Formats: sequence, C-alpha cells, structure tokens
Amino acid sequence: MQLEVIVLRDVGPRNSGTITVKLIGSLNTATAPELERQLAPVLAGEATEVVFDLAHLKFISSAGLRVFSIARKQLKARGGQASFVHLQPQIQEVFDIMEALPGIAIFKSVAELDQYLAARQRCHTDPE
Amino acid sequence: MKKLSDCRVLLVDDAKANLDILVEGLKSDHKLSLALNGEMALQSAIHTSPDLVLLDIVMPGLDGYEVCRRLRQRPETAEVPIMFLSSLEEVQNKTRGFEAGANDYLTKPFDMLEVKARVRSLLKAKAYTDAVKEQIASELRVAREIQMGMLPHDFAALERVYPVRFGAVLEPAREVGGDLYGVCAAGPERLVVFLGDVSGKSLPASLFMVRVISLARLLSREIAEPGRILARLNDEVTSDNPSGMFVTFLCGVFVPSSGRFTLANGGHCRPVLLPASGAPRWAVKKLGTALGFEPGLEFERTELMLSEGDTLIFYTDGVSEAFNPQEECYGSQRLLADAGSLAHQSAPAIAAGLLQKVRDFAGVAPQSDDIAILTLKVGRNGASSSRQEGGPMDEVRYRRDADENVLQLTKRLFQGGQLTIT
Repeated sequence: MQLEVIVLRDVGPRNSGTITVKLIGSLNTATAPELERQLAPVLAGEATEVVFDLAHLKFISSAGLRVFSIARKQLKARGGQASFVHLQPQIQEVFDIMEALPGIAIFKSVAELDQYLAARQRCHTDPE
Repeated sequence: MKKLSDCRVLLVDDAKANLDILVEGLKSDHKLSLALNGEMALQSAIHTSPDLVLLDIVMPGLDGYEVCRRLRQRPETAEVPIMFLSSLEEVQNKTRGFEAGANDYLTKPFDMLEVKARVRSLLKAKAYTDAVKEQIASELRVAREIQMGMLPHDFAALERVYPVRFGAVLEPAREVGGDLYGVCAAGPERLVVFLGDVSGKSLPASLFMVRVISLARLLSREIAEPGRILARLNDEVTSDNPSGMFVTFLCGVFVPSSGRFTLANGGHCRPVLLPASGAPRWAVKKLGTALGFEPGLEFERTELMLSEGDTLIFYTDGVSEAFNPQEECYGSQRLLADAGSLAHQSAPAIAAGLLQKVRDFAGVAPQSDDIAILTLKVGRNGASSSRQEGGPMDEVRYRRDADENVLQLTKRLFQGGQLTIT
C-alpha cells in the first residue's frame, strides 16, 4: 500500500501559521522516506504548529513513528508542537508507546484541536 | 566477477534457421541454451539459470511478450536480462516489449556484430550487479553471525545456579534485525531479564540494537531496580540520536529466594504470565513510553510474585502482528490462547511452540517483522541452595568478572564523555 502526503497551509483567522499534513495510505519502511522528503521544507521553515491528520492513515510501522518523532523533536526545539488528529484505533495502539511525551498532542476531532490551537496562540500573543 | 565466457545465454526462436545463425555467432563467446517455443523457454530458464535471454516475439503458443512477463513474475528469473529479437519493427511493438519487462529490443534482420556487442553489454551489467549483490549478501551474513553471537543461546550455566529455565528464539525478517534479548546474572539473588525491539528493520535497526544491548548489559549489573535501568538506558540512547531511532524495551529483575519479579516497561508489548494453574494473562497493565524519544523520563514498575511452574513470556510484535495471506493479524487474543495451550511444557518448548503457532498462522505469507520470544519458567525454589564450591557458580562469577573488566574499560574510554557509568 502506498502513501499520499498532502501539505496544507491553513490561512484561516484561527489557525494562521498552522500547517496541516494529511496522510493517506500506509506509513511503513517503504513509504517513510517519502514523508521525510515532503516534511523537510515544512520543518526547515518557520512553522511551529504542525497538525498531522491521520483520518485516512490505515497502517503505521515503527519506521513511520520515527519520522513523527524527528518532527516532534525539531518543532519542540523552537517552541512548537506536533499535533495528531483522527487516529484510527490501530494507529492509536502504535501511538501508545509515545505516551505522554512533551511536545506531542493527540486530538479526537478537528474542533477539539482548533480550540486547543486557539488557546495556545492566545498565550503567545497575549501575555495574560 | 563472472567471466563473460562463463555466462549462459538462452536463445528462443521458433525458426530453427534463426537459432542456427545465433548459435554460430555466439557459440565461441558464451555458453548457450536453446528453446524452440515459449513453453520450452520457461522450462529452460528455470533449469539452466541463464544470464541473458534472447527472445523472439511471434511464436506459436506462448508469444515472446507472454514469456517475458512470466519470467518477470517468477522470483528465480525476475531479474534476468531479456532482449527481444523480432521482425516487428513498429514503435508500438517495441514499447510493448519494454512494458512486458525487456531490457533491450533489436529488430530483424540484424547484424551479428551488433547482437554480439549488445549481448556483451547486457552480460557485463548483469555480472556487475551480481557481484555487488553477492558482496552485500556476504557482508550481511557475517553481520548476522556477529549479531546472533550477542544473544545468549545456551542458558545451562545460569540454570545450574538459578531455579529457572529459559527458552529463546529469534528470527530476523532480513539477515540482521533490531530485536534483542538478554539474561544477566547480576548477583546470587538478582537475575536481570530484558527484551527489546528497535524501530525499523535490517541494517539501521541492527546498529542501534548493538548500542542498546551493550548498554543494557552494563546497566543491568550496575542498577538494581528495572525502572531505573530503563530511565538510564533511555537517557543514554536519547543523546546523539539524530535519526530519531527508538527501542521498545522490557526489563525484569527476579529475586529467586522470594519469587519476586519486578518489571518495568518502555513501550513494549505486554508480556504474558502463564501461571502453573489458571488462565494466561498480561503481566503488566501499561505500555509506558519507548526509549529514545525524550531524556529524563520515569518508568513505572509492576511487581509479580512467581512460584514454581509459573512462566513469563516476553516477545516482540513480530509475534502479535504476524499476518496471514488473508492479511489478518495474529493478535493478542490468539497469543493468549496459544500460550495457554503450551502452559505445561518446558521453557524452550513454550518458546519453540509459540513460534510454530505463529508460523502455522502466517502460512505462506512472508515474515514482515523480526520475531523474538524469551520464556522464563520458575523451577523448584531452593535450587539455588544446591550450589557447590568451585561448581557452576564460579563459572557464572567468572563471566561476571569478564563483564566487569569490560565495564572498567568502558568507564575509562568514556571518561568525561557521553556515557557515564555510575
């Protein structure tokens, strides 16, 4: 099974600066380098909030998790965060081994994620 | 590299006259096999392993395109170079030939000099690829021996001293892999058991595996508590880890006199506790976080009281996530049930039996991940009191001394560096 990667730059008023990466298919040893290649410009840029939408991710292996781990580390280094939304049950199971890592956030729905991102951005722009 | 004169060329044409011309032109340069139709060509390709196939297209029965496709489908002939020799000279015919998997296409009538030049060119490329493949394969074979040598296979010395029996199997999906396990005699009343699974497969995983297993052995002797062993190991493998590798790791410390087995889990699949009587169950509740992501993590511990006949099964997800040809997963429920059916067997028989159950389930589906299983069965308590002076304990102590020498050496090597042994 192949992997399709779609990188979207959100320009809405609530999530300005957030980059959404949609993954479709299977993230494994064979397809992980493709995601790494597509993420490189995103991580080299200024983005601090990267949201991975995994609604259509059918399978993830540890090689795939490694790519997320690198992204998390790079974003965290500049005060950013990697968020994950719409994890299918089999994906959630693999994510359990990244349990409670700082600099990683997992959300059930986009609404929950939006609320969180808005709060985070208020913190950055408004010291109160 | 194979000499061109040792290379075998399979010539396929339904017109004997054409074959005669090719034989005449090539017989002094290469070994030859002949086939007068598609069926014969497929048979010959299997039996004589040619280095090159010269293939006619228009033949009764299987045509050249179909022969080419079938050769590509069979693993034995999937990579043999194929050149079409055909009177069909339309560009559509040539395109179709390349789409069927051909490496080259020459139209009839041909000049023998050109055929010979192209044959040599294709054979040289094949010989070069074969040589590179063989070199990688032989290096991997040695790497596999080195890696297997790092894993304990003979537990007899330990079993004479501690009242436990061990079983272990490890099968990498490729030549080398990222699964690891170990058993360390850390003291007369302290036996450390660990098992881990490095992210990914093959060479990168195996290099990280070597780092993890070496550190785990040292830390097992230095630190009493499994949660602390995990915390230290995590700190060590998290530093200088640019490629973001990680390892799921399970560590347990067994105190034979009390039967207390303390476990800590770094993101690994939950071990199975197979009681002497009663149903199999998970030995720990939580997965915890894998090692390598973030320094400074803490790990929860779980305490079990083991008695005679109880067995613990540590395994990697190559077991629980084995797939059959219908793409169904072996899964944790099947694992518990199969483990239960093996409860009354010995530790090695449980490990081997479980591996067999997974293989039976997977059937002809290729093994997709490394598989490791380590079993520990508690024997009669007090077996440790049968120690004799100058007996087996000395043997174990000797090994400890050897490891302590390594520890001292490592301390000196890494003095002031990344690795600090406390």
